Formats: sequence, C-alpha cells, structure tokens
Amino acid sequence: MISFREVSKRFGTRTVLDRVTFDVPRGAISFVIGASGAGKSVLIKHVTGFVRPDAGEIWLDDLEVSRLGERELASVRKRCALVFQHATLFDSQSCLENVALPLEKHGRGRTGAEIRARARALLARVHMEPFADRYPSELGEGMKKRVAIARALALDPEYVLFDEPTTGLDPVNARRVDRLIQTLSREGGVTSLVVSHDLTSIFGIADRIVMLYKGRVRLIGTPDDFRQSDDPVVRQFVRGEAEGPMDA
Amino acid sequence: MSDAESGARDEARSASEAPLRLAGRLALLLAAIGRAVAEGELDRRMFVKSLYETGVRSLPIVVLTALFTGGIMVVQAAPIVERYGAHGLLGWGAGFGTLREIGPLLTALMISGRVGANNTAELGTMVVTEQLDALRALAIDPVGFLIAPRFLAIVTTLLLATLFADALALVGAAYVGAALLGVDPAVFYTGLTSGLLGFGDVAHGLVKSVVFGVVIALSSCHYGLATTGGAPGVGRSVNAAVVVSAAGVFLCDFFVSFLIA
Ligand SMILES: Nc1ncnc2c1ncn2[C@@H]1O[C@H](COP(=O)(O)OP(=O)(O)O)[C@@H](O)[C@H]1O
Ligand SMILES: [Mg+2]
Repeated sequence: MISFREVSKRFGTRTVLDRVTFDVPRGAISFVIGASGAGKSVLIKHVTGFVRPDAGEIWLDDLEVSRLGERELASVRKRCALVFQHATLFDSQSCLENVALPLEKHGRGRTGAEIRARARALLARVHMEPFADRYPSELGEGMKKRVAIARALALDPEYVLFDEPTTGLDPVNARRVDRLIQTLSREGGVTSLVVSHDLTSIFGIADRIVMLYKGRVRLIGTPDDFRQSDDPVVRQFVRGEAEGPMDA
Repeated sequence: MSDAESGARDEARSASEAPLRLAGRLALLLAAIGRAVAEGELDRRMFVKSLYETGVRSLPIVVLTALFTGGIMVVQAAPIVERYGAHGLLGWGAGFGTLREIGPLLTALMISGRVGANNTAELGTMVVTEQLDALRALAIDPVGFLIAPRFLAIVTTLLLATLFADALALVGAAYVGAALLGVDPAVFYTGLTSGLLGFGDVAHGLVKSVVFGVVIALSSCHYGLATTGGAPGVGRSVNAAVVVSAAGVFLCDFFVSFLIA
C-alpha cells in the first residue's frame, strides 16, 4: 500500500499540495485526476523520492520513503517504477537498448541474447517491437511514451506509477495501454497509480479515483461515486464542461 | 534586457563571486566520482564509448593546433637563432616551451572548447529533459553510469592528446626549422636530446595535462548537472563551463608551474 499522510509541498510562495491524505490499496488501479497544474505530477514524484515533502509522510508498505536517502531509494525504485509524463528515453540509445538497460544493470538475464529477447518481449507488450532498432528522435511522442512504459516494466515492479500514460497516444494505442494496466493489475497483482485526465481511461479501468483541486483532495471514491457526485467542481471535470466553478 | 541575458549575467556573477562555493561543489563531485569508481559502479561500456567519442572528436583539432604550434615556436625563435647562429639550440628552445607549457596548455584549451562544451551540452539536455531522473527511476546511479565514465574519458583523452601533441609539435618545429632556417632535422633532434631537456620536462607537462583534464572534466560535468530552464539554460551552462574551465586551467597552470618548477 502507498499512503500519503498530510503531505504538503510548496514551490516558492506557491502551495502545490496542501495536507494531502489518501491510500493506494494493493493490487488495485487508482487514479489521480485534476486540472493541469493541480500538482498531480508533483504528487506521484513524492512516492519514489524525486520530490521531498515540506511536511507530512509518504509510506510504501512499511517504509517511510520521505525519510530515505538516495541509496535506499534505489532499492525502492526497483520495486516501484515511475513512467514520467514526458517520455524520458535516452536519446543516444535505440528503443531496444533503452529497455535492455535496466535488465543489464540489474543482472536480469545471463547473456546478452537473453536480455535482448526479454527487451523485445517487453516492447511487444506495448506494440513497439517493430520499432526496436529505431532511435527516440525518429519516433513521435506517443510511441516514445509506450517504449518508456515498456522500460518501466523491465524490473517486474510491484508498483507502477503512470504519469498521463495515454496523453499523446492515438485512441487505439491509448486503449491498449489501458488494457495493459488492467492486465498488470489483474494477472500480475501490480498496484497502479495512474495520473490522467483521459475520461475514457478513468471511467474504463479505475477502481478508485482521487481528485485534486487547489492542492487539496476534493473527492475520493469509485467511478460511480464520481458520476453521481453533486459537487460542481467534480461534475464539471468528469463531464468535461467549459463553463463551471473550476478556474484556469 | 532579456531573461537569457540577465540569466547569463547572474551565472557570470555567481561564477566570479563564489569561487569557493564552486570549488566546494567541484570537490564534492570529484568525491562522488571517486566513490562510484571505488565501489565498482563505473560503467565500463560507457567509459569505452565516451573515450572513443572524446578521442575521435579531439583528434583533428589536436593535430592541427599541434603542428602549427611547433611551427610558430620556430618562427618566433628564428631572428634570435639567425643573429646568434644558435642553430644547435633550436631543438632545445622549441622543446622546452612546447613540452612544459604550450603543448599542455593549448591542447587543454582546445579540448575544453571541443569536448568539455559538448559534454556540458549533452548532460544539460539530459537534465532538462528528465533523462537523468529517468536513470535514477531505474535505480541506476547517474554518477557511475554517466559522470564517472565521461570524467575519466576526458582526463585520459587530454593526457594522451598532450603526449601526441608534444610529439607532433616537435615534428612541426623540425620541419619549419628546416624550411625556414635550414636547420637539419638531425641537428634539431640533437638539440632536443643533448641533455638540456630531460624526462622531467615531459613529465612536467604531463602532470599539468592531468590537472587540466580534471579541471575541465569536473567543471563541464558540474555545469551540465546544474542546468535548469530548458534550452536557454543549456546555453548558459555551456557558457559558464567554458569560461570556468579556461580560467581554472590558467589558474592551475600557474600553481602547478610554481609548485613543481
Ligand atoms: N521543480 C519545480 N519548481 C517549481 N515549481 C514547480 C516544480 N515542479 C512543479 N512545479 C509547479 O507545481 C505546480 C504543479 O505542477 P504539476 O504537478 O506538474 O501539475 P500537473 O497536475 O499538471 O501534473 C505547477 O504550478 C508547477 O509550475
Ligand atoms: Mg503533470
């Protein structure tokens, strides 16, 4: 389980997170939703120590990650993968090499051939195997993102944090990524925390949804709770309406 | 005034106002590199790759500067050599200046502009596009994987390039001496090896080249890693790295010359 307890974070004078508290239960697919700039990326980067809270605690099972140093975080990061919002592939390496890198560095595979075969299988899971030998600069944003997802899954993590995995993908590949997240959770027991504002994803695969608004948790519940909410902010967001109480 | 200009000015000011803080940061980076190497975290494949890239990148520029440097030494010495008929000392004169000072210094400045600037730009781009965080997210230590290999590659390249440049500069000097002053290359060679110059002079230059390599490698990695603010930020970092490398090279040249003279 991932637990956020009273987490607050400011940048300069701007409060991005204000006493955020919620749990991410094991094995389920939890979504974090909210407008752009609501602090969703900042929130999930806390889980693997890329951002430190000003106040509050973040727990991963029985580890308080907000207190760990860079070395201990390395072992946390093997168990808890992060897919960044912008695909962060290494420019100087092909797609296959990008995916093979964590396998090589952490000794997952005895021979180079075995590692390459595993990397190919991972690329196949995101339908990017035909592009294995291409370089990131030759690919569009959506394709790079799918390779980044494959790379994040390389170490068989128990937890995966996805930051807007379907943004920039065509609808077919977006649904494929949704299905991949579902398979990971249903068949692999993976716990997923997904940042998204893709309504199809949210209402298609979420078990639980947390909505952030102005740095605070606005609502936690199931997709049905969100559909039936009479909070005007929640209603505006889940219906994708231009007019309403949400500013900016 | 644009943001980029004021940013560059801030960078220049912070570089000149806080040399101690900068020295502290570079020392910490050096310690981190040392620890990564000691703990076997150095990625050998990346080291070989960096060495190849820095070597290939440096070769043309080193050849060009070295040959001309040797020639320039002779052109400058020519009137004196002619006036006193000191043809036998030409080899010594060119060798002394080249091995102890001009060879290491010019090679370092050329490599700083070529390899150091490139290193800062690459690392800076990786930082602003979150590629470094992506490495950490995969539990891969960026120091062992990226920084230590590049550091060692730059230091090794500069040492080897200086040796190579020394040799080429002397060849250049010998040929220009022959063409301009009619000094037989054999006489030049005797002047070089007759005992006035020794292994100590070569070593003097090589010690310097290692110190220069450390200065260039550390500052180019440091400014790359400290990059913020997108593409303009990368530009500012490259700028700062080149300025600080050159200043650091001259500073260290003075102190090393002083200490081991
Ligand atoms: N490293 C940082 N320094 C300063 N401000 C930041 C930093 N990271 C994020 N922010 C600010 O925090 C706010 C939330 O950002 P983010 O979490 O990326 O939003 P989103 O919900 O769209 O993912 C934004 O206003 C952003 O400008
Ligand atoms: Mg975001």
